[in-house]
Amino acid sequence: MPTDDLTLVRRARSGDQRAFRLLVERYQKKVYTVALGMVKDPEEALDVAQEAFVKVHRYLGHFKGDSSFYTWLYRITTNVCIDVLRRRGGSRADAVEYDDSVELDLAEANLGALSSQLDTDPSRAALRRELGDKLEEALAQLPEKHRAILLLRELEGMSYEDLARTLDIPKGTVMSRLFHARAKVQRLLSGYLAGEPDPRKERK
Amino acid sequence: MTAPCPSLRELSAYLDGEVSPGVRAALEAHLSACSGCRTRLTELGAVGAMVRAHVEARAERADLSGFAARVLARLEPYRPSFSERLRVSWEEWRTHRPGLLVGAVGLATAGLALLLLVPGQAADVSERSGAMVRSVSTDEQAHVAPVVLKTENGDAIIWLVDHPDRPSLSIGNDASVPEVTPPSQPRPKAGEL
Amino acid sequence: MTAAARSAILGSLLLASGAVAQPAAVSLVVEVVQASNEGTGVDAGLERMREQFAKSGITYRSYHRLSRDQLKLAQGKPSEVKLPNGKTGTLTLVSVKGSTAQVSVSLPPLQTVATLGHEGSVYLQAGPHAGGVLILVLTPAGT
Repeated sequence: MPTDDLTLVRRARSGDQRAFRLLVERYQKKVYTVALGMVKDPEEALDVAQEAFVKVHRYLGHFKGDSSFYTWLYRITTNVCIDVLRRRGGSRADAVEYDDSVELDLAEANLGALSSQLDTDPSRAALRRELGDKLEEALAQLPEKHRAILLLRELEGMSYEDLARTLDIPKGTVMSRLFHARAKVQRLLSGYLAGEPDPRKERK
Repeated sequence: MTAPCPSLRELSAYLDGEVSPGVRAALEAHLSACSGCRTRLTELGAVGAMVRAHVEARAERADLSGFAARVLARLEPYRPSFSERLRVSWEEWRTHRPGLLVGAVGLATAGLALLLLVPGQAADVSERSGAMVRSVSTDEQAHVAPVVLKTENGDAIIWLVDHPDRPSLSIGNDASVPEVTPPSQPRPKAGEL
Repeated sequence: MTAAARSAILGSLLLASGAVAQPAAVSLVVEVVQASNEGTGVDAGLERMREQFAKSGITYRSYHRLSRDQLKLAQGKPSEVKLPNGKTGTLTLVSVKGSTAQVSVSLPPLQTVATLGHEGSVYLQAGPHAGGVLILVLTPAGT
């Protein structure tokens, strides 16, 4: 039976490097995946993921153990990602938090277009390449915090409660933010699928 | 009579299973009768499924085999001044092992002197107050090496640090107490299970 | 007075004072302290320990005294101290010379012989325990 997180954390805190390594190995893939969703570039995502674990190690002494290690780890990961994105410039932190027109637009959107794009087996890795690019673009247009919440929910299946703890926001805000993130991505993708002209579109 | 269509916001919460049982029942009743809402729900869900499929596919391509090792290599070095001090004492210990800490190493740091004693210094010792360590050793196969520290007010601390040649569990080391690393050798990796 | 008479008187004086009759013994205060970075409490009387440790480069945020006993060590007779992490420390008085005592301590994987004078403690790291480390503290009684 694998050792639980808190035991490993305790051991790591008293200097047991093996325990810390086990924690890293346990979560490395998940952390990397979230980082990749946030920063897009694989090399950068690797760096971000490593940085997150380095920070975890540095602040092990501060971890109270009253929250789960899991949410604490993701909080650190998210913050490192957001820092990196802000340093890149063109931060969307100041973008309009909630775009209320979204709901109206969707009412007219190309309903059904998105789900028909998914393969019959949605777990299959390949999405049509161009659609994948469009998805990346849509994600990139989300403010960092909205991107984070969407990724954590979809990649990790985090409950609203865990999301609230990870992002340090009330549960009500979790619901709104998630909704807006989904709706915005859907709107951007629906637009593409409906053949709306994209000024940034490049012919490959 | 059908209830009015729920908002997308509500559908989003329903998608995540985060609505109360009462609301859920009402929604499901509505959904069974309203194909428009079913489509809206599926669309909303499609966003998440696409995000997941796309990001996970990209993540699969990464080779994470050396990841943990790289993290360990990036862990912050402990306070170098202390590490310097210990490194010297470690060299002393290694050359005269086992069982004896020979020679005295005076290091220019406030409050810290490494006191390594040779048996037979009884005569001078008895005149000094304060605790002294005559000899110290660890078991042959121990994964730790002892270090003796003398404090300002005459106490003696016998601490254990990782044995560089037999790395394993750090015995209760605080983050501020570094592993002792002989200068000429590469830093040992943490022991495998 | 003859030499014989003198030594007889001396002998009886010595016997009377008990200086020869009694085996050497020393009284020690033995404490088990847990140091860790969890919490910030430093028990009363351990502040000096925290300070000395910090000056020596070992920084923990909290120091809690788990036990405190006074042991009388008789020469050659080992005394055992059981620690909460399962280890057993064995203390043996090796010799007494003037006001100092040599005490042998076995606390696997560590063995040491320390000299204790009027004052000054010996701190021995005794392994990890509950998120921190255990430290065995030996101090001459009466300090």
